Amino acid sequence: MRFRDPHVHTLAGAFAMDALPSTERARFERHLARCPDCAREVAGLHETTARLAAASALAPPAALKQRVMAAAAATRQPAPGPEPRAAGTWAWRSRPRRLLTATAAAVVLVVAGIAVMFGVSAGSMHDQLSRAQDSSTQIAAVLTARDAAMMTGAVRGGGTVTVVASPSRAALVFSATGLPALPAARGYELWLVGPAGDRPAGMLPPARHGMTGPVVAAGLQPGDHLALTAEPSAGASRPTAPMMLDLVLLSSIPAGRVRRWDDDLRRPPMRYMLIHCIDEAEEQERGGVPAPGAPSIGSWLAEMDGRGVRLHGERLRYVSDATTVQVRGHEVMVSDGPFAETREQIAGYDVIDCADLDEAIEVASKHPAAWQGTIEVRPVAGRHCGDIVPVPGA
Amino acid sequence: MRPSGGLDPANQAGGGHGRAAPSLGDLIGRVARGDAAAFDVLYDQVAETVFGVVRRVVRDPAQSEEVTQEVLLEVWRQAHKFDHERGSAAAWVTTLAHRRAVDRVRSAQRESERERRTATADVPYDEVAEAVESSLEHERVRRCLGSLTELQRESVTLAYYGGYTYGQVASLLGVPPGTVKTRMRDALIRLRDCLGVAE
Repeated sequence: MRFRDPHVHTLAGAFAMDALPSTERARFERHLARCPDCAREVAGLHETTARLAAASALAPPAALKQRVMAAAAATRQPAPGPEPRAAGTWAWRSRPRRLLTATAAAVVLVVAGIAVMFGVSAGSMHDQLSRAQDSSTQIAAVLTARDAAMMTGAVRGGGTVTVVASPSRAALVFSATGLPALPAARGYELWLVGPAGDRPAGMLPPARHGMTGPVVAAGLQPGDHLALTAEPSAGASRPTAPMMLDLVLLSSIPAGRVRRWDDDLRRPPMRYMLIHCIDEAEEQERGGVPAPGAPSIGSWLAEMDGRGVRLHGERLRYVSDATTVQVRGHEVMVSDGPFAETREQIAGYDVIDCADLDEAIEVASKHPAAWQGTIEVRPVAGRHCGDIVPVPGA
Repeated sequence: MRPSGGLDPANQAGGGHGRAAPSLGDLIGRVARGDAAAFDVLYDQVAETVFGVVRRVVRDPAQSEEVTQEVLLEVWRQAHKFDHERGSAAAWVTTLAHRRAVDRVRSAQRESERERRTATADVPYDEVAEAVESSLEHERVRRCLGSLTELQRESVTLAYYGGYTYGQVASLLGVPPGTVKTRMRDALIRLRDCLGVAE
């Protein structure tokens, strides 16, 4: 189930305050399960509403404690914990075969969509540009391999994994959401299990806001399954705990059900919009003096126009000049001011044409707005939060 | 017990400090293993915050006690589901509490009464002014609410403390629902930054 409303993000605030009617709440919860960025934002907003709650603390009647304690003593707690052995299920996300006839553009978009799903794109840029580039290079090598195939599986005990595996690269990219938290001294370990024996394939990093990975596991052999166990944090050389996942990898999947894309196809350039976000008040205070060491806009324009990367772009006037328009029930509603009141404002944009996200990040990092504020890099006509681009004809 | 009697999520992040007061996250972990003594301590740490927020939304004292009891029993039963990777223990508990309270006031038998209240718009906007005590946390939140635009502040107050849906808030304030949705998000983001909430 997918939100078609492009403004779904704006529901995060209403959701965090339980201000959505129950049907919209349920829809947004389904959306959250597949949108790590939204889940992260909601987590931060829930920390905020916790402060609103704390500010209204009020002592309950003393007798309530005895009632609660008595009720708890009479209430059985459900027994959690992983079940002994669980066969993972995998579900193929899309139509077989038909993709093979898809246009080259769609192929590239699928790769971009998966890159977004794994958090390789703009989200990670906020953390560390260099690290993101480094890890996304390895990840991109697997994702763009001609024989890459994607599988998802359910983890016994909770959570969903998504795996893209490539036999030619002998590697897979693993990511998971909603894995249950482990005690401090334990961590999740990946295993490749198959004719070549059971081999450890790496400890997973701790989850951040319910999202684990992406990580690359190398050494993939024909006939391997992917397994997951909870082990001491130092890692084990062979699985000592019950398998929480047993995911059948490529070789066992009937050929017709494997989704492939071919990187021999000539890729048309990708279009991205660079959205410049700056703090207008701060800019006015500084009187237009650029950030120390920042490149000049003139040199950026000269380079990008020279490389043929930049299609068009403009600086925008301040948000005080903005007007918002909505049509509801054939009635045009116009108001002054920006769409949303935020600390940073959209100050300009550029639409660029480049080979891939890495180039888009490189282009953005040279723009002076990135030195002063933030540049959001958005693929044009991509899909939101890991939604795979629809297969043509499906 | 802290003097303020409230939950301070900012102080709940880490593990045990080896002092008399264990962190709420540790307590929930022990409660998940059936530790009734830990639940007793947990009650003292969270009861005032839970009751406070429930009382704000539900209003009726007797029903507020019922809902508070339901929330604490839910903590007892669901403690194993708490995941510190997803947020603080304080946020987990207050989110349970607020949702329970909202569900209670939106249940079918209350619907007609609330519609009447919505229609007459007879709701005090500045609910924070009613706060029972002026703890340090209360002062911080009040100051940050003061930094919001009027529309943002009213949206947050009516939704969070009043328990209204964004549609009801929109009709109370006479603005389009879409505007209320965006202002709610803007407001919480601004509050988050103002309160220095760690993401």
